[in-house]
Amino acid sequence: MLLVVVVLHITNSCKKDKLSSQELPTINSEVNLSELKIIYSKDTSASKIGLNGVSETHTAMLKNRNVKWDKMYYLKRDSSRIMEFDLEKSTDVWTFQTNPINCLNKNSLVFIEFNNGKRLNFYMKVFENLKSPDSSSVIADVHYNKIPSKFNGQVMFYTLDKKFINGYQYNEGKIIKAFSPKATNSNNDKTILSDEGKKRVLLNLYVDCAEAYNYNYQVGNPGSGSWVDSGYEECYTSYGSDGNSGGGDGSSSGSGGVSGDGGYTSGPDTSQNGQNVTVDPSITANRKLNCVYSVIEKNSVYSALTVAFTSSNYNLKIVAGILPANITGKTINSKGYNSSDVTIMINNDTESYSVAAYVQAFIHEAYHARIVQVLIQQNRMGAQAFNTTYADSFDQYLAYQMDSTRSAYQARGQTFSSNDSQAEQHNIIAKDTEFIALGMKEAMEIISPSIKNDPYVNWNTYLNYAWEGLQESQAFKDKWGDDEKTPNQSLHESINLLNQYTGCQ
Amino acid sequence: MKYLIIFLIIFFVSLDLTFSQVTTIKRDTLYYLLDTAKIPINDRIIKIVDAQVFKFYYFRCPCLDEGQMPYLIHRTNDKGEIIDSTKINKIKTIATVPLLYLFHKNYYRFNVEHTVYLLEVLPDKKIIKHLVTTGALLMKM
Ligand SMILES: [Zn+2]
Repeated sequence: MLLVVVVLHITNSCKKDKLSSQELPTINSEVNLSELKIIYSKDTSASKIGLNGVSETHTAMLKNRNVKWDKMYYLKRDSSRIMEFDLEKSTDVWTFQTNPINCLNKNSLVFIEFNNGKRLNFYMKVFENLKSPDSSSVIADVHYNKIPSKFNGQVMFYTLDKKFINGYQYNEGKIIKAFSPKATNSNNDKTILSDEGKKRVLLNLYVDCAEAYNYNYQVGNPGSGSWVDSGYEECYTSYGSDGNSGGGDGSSSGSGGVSGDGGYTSGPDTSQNGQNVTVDPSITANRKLNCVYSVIEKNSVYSALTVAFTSSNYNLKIVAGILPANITGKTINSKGYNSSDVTIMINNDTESYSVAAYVQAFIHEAYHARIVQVLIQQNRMGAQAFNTTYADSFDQYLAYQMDSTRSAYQARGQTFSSNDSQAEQHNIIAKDTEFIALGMKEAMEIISPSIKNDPYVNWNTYLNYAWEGLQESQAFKDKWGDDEKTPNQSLHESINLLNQYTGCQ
Repeated sequence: MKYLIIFLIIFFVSLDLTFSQVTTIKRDTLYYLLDTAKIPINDRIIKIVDAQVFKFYYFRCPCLDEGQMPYLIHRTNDKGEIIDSTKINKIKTIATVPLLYLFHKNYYRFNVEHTVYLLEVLPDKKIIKHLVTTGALLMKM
């Protein structure tokens, strides 16, 4: 007879968390603990390779994997249930901080059991960064799909053979960054996983670790004050993620789920992309623009950026119109931030601009539209912008960026003008040039398939092209130099190279 | 003679009309002669950059949006066509300033409205003819 001791966690994480009522102490009959133990020992058996080895693909951060079966966190959802156990305490403490003040870790084992019988079993590693040594820790209250509002740090998921799956970074309980595995091979390809029509996009961008997101873990004892580099690195691609991978089942906004957790079916359905995205006849009646847009609207990057407009509160209109010759696209919120309508206008002089220019303009403007939407939210709801039901992690990432910039201006006694806002928007977009490049590559290879055979077109060509339009950003000046008159040669090469591709004529 | 002139005018007008019916775009063909040897390197208005994919001919004139320079390009693997230097005098070429004026007028539509041949005088006095286009500027978005 097994005795399951159940701990009921009452969290103060999220006031509007609909799941609280479903968070029940379980009874013996509901959970078959011996079955879980068998599953765990099978999945971690010695026959599975790489279990204790450390390599590029197996984390060193899960050393003691003995499970404390005597306490369980249990959460019942509409289509699944979650059973979570702590692992025995490890002597190592790992952190993303380069300058750790007070860091705590917790390792857990999570079982998700779906109503259809499918299972998802994985490790969850929690990294808590206390703001100061005397801040109180909330790490004990961090659970799968349940992040306390005071939590600062990262939550990372690993397979039972210790391979990184995905993860999130939190600030005050809100997702500010998402992580997915960096590809181990370095060809110029990409991986996109979509999840049953849900707008989940995972990217393996094959970027060089040194590029941006390289975290050196440090290992040490929080009390001793001595931290040493472990000599071990994990490299992730991080980006502002979309809703469903971060949104759990939607009722716990920004809680952050493991890839493959489809158990959020009770949440808002964001799969109907296009519901409030209107394409004006000025686009559809134009042969070239209609052709480009028909490819763009199915584009994984464009879809991920525009999915927030599927809420009934926000509308996105795509139109073609007369714009100055040096402007390929523009995002307009004509009625000011009090309107929920955002318009992307594309230059209708289709003889003058290439297919690549239009592809890039659509994706670039989708970024603007998304940021403008977040600005609308902020203006209406101030700090409450995070708490909209459809706010996904990408919104939060943008809002966080805009908020912190706005605060920095205010702290200096400066007003945050629309020009400053535009510059900051460009800095955000500049950080996501990889994302734009990915969308461009995907679209161009559909519109002009022969581009795949061009020996001169590679990932860098797209990466370079993605910088167009970002001239006013600080990031552009940092990368390409301050002098727009003599831009880096490789920028001109890349732009002219892709511009030569036709299609959609 | 008078009739002949009238005839020619009618002929050209009707030719123009027929042409207009075929396409609304009236493309002008321009020839631009580039004889770098004649000008000391620092005085040259044109800066030539031989890059991986394209050969760039930058006009040192910040006369476009945001002070960007107009430039002509052709593929480096396009070897062009050697032309007889005795024929060069028969070709009507456009001077630099009028060309810059055309660039300035509407650089973005330039390739739609013009076909440009670059006649480059090589050190051995041979002339090489390349079909060129204007290079892309950085667009605003
Ligand atoms: Zn822009």
